[in-house]
Amino acid sequence: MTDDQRELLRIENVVTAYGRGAGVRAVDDVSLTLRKGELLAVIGESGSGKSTLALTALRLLEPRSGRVFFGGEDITHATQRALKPTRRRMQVVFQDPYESLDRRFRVRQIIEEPLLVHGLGANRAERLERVHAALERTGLSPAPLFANRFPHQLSGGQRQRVAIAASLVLEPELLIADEPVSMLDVSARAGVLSLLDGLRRDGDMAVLMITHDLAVAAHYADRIAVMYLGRVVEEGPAHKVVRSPVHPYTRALLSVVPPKDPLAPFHPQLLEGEIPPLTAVPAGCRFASRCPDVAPVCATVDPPLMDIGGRHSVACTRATRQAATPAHQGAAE
Amino acid sequence: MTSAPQPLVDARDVNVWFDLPDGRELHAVRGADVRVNSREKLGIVGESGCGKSTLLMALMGLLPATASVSGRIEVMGADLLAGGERAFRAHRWKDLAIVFQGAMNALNPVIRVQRQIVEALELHEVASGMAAVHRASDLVRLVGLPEGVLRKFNHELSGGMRQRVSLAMALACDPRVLLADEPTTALDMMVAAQVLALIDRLTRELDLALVLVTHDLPLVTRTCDRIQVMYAGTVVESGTPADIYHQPQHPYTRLLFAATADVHSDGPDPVTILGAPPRLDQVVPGCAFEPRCPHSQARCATDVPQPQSAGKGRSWACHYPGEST
Amino acid sequence: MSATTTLASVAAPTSQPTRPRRLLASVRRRPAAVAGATILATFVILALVGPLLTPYGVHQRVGEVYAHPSAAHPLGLDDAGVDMLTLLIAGTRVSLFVGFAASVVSVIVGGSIGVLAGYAGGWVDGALMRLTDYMIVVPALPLMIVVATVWGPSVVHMVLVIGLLMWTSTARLLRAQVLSLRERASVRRARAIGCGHWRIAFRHIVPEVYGLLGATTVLTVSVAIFYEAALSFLGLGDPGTVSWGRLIEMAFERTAISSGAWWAIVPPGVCVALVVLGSSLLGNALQDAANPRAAIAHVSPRTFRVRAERGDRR
Repeated sequence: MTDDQRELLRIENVVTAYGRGAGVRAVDDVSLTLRKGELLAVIGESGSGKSTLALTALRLLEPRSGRVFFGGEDITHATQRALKPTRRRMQVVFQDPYESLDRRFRVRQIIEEPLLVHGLGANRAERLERVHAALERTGLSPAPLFANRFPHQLSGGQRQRVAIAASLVLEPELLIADEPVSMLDVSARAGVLSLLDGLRRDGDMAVLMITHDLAVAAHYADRIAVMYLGRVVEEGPAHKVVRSPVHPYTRALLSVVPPKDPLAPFHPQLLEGEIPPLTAVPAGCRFASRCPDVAPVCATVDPPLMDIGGRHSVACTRATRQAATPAHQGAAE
Repeated sequence: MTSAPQPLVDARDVNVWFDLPDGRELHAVRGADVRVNSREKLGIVGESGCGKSTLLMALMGLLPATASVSGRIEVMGADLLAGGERAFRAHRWKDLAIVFQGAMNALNPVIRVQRQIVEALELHEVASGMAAVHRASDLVRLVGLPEGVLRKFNHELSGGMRQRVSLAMALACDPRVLLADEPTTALDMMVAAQVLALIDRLTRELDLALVLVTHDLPLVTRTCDRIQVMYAGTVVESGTPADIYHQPQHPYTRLLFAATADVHSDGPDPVTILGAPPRLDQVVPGCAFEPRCPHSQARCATDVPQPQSAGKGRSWACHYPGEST
Repeated sequence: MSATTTLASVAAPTSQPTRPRRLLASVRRRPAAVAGATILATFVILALVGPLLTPYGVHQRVGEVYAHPSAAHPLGLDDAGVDMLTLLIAGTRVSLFVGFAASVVSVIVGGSIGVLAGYAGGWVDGALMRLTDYMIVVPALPLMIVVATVWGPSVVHMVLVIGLLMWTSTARLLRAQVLSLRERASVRRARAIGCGHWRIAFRHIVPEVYGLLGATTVLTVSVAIFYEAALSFLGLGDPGTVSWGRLIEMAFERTAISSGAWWAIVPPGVCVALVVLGSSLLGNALQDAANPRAAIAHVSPRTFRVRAERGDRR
């Protein structure tokens, strides 16, 4: 289990549900591994369970079943109190930098707060030093100038950098970024994304990025996991998932993103209808009702995620008919 | 119909100011032109705060009381600014219809879809009574929804269905021009693609002209015949999608493309455009993009570049066009 | 491309005023709020410096019973020949004290219950809101009469009786506000950082509702003053003090109306009405300013203006 020293986060067969009793399973039997220095993009539409998955990984939600390991430690059912030291090591950056920063606080106070909460930094001067260092790391330089501003005095991109700095100040090992650039203007996106990219390349930090933007994922991620209706349907190295997608859902999603060059060929393959509600998950393959390549077998067989070689796995009966090993046993050995 | 091609919408030198609470003014749109010919698909693209939505609202005459407008807005030959609200009302919805990003707010939450469409039809005197009910069913089918939707409330519909219903309502009076303000931005990828394909089909089948306002460059260049790039209230470049992608003349256009990631090719990493757009409550002495422009020269800070036309709707407003990195 | 933001982009920050100043500005823009603030300020000043304004004592007999208003006594004399203006000013003190103190009590109680219910959620919320519902159903005035009678008449009792029976609307308002604040991204972020409940509640949530608390306090003053007058009029006021309600009660009891001595009864009534009006005007405006989403949008039938000038004129 610990032969992979680079492994940071491992999610095994996690089920997260909302509501009483069996509840509504927003994440249904998902397994993922994230290594140090890796950037994993989780792609999906609303209702795919990607945000619930992130909240479960952060243990802001408790899974109904399955296990969550962080740094080799099982945190599946750890209490919030027991989690406090772990919280420092896993930080999150939210989608909306306008809403997520408290407008009453100066940038300095926003970044200092995590230090106070975790009792880091011996005195004010030392904390301020760390605040300035975090600001410089996120490209907000000169730091003292930014430290005294209020969020509303900054642009969207700068605010998102402040949010990242407030996470970095704790020197986390895992950064979960929930749609980190979807509220930003195009001109500011690349800056924030290359910042995240650089941070994990510099250190041992891993980044789990939730996004709906395939182009962003393709450009910055090492690995991409595509989710549909609470399941991961395809997972693998980013270039493989984007250049040679196997699952019909991934293929359809990619086909509807127009290329930048208006003259390049573009043949969007529209799927019928919308994602069914979690309260009415179809039997068999969850995607069968909208699948362009549907076969009779799909109505009955719920395909598991299977490795098709090269750490690339797909949950599709037709596509993996030849392949042999279920993905997460195959990958672990 | 076959006479000289008169543009459906011909707006020239449109300026929009908003009164600020402290007595100053925000000059949101600064001398923009919009021309839409019959069956043409015009895309207006720019980042938030560039004035693209305000320009659209000015065309509809739907600005708040704090706004003031100058210029000339002609719709099908009629000068609307001269004619005032009455003139706008004569064309609004009948010739010019609009769909917004937040379809959520466009529908009344406590009235069923059918009654909302029927009311709109009766209000604009398109149809009444049973005729209106039939027309409502036709419209709903036209936008690819089952008729059962008519008996639903807003909250019972998904985002994509809501956007389809607002499209149905926009089409109620057989408009000539459809204005769409970020119609797919709030939607999921696949649903957005469906709605966009629907808009595309409707414009073809109903001979509509389209004005699509969005921040999404690949989307707009793919959908439209002609593109206007806006920055700080001004149109900085216009042309066909191929023109502005393959031969961008304004550095902002070029940087916007460079900032956009492409999923289908392994291009260089997207770039950041440093700095922020100018504040529109202040006078900008030179080119509005000068502070962020990698090729700016002394003249750019003092002289406002005037639009240069290269014919066929191709123009740009830059002192040093075509300057590449 | 390095991820550095240039200094140029910080050089021109958007100058947005801070929250208190924005609050003040938005109050100043509403004529109703200015009127309300003026009325309240006048009465507060009157209460503070009042005794310096008239030379007479509140028990000092200066003339005939129900003497008509005159130059020396602009509001005439009461049933014991005491100067009405002096009594009215003395009453301002007590009435305002009861009004503000009761309002503060009710906001402290209601605010705590509302914040706790909204933040804790679950069964705590359920229990507290059920309690609130019961309190709303109970007819306030009869209960106040009963409690005031049992406890006996005194100013402190009056404050407690009114304060402890008026917190329900504050509690509901605050709960709703906290419920929405709790879901805010900034609060979720605080939780993800690892902040404890205490820190989240008192650093991230409660400061956000200060404005609303202030507005509610001012708004509740109007109700408290009214109840003070009502209870006193029913003879449940502190007999040792002079308040507007007591003045009306005494005048009523001592046949001021049949004697035609309107000056003994109308001025205190007008004072009650004015303070109620002032605090509602100001409180409502503050509430709108503190909670813009609750405010009704002012739909204007006016449309935009058309200008002849060209854009590049400036």
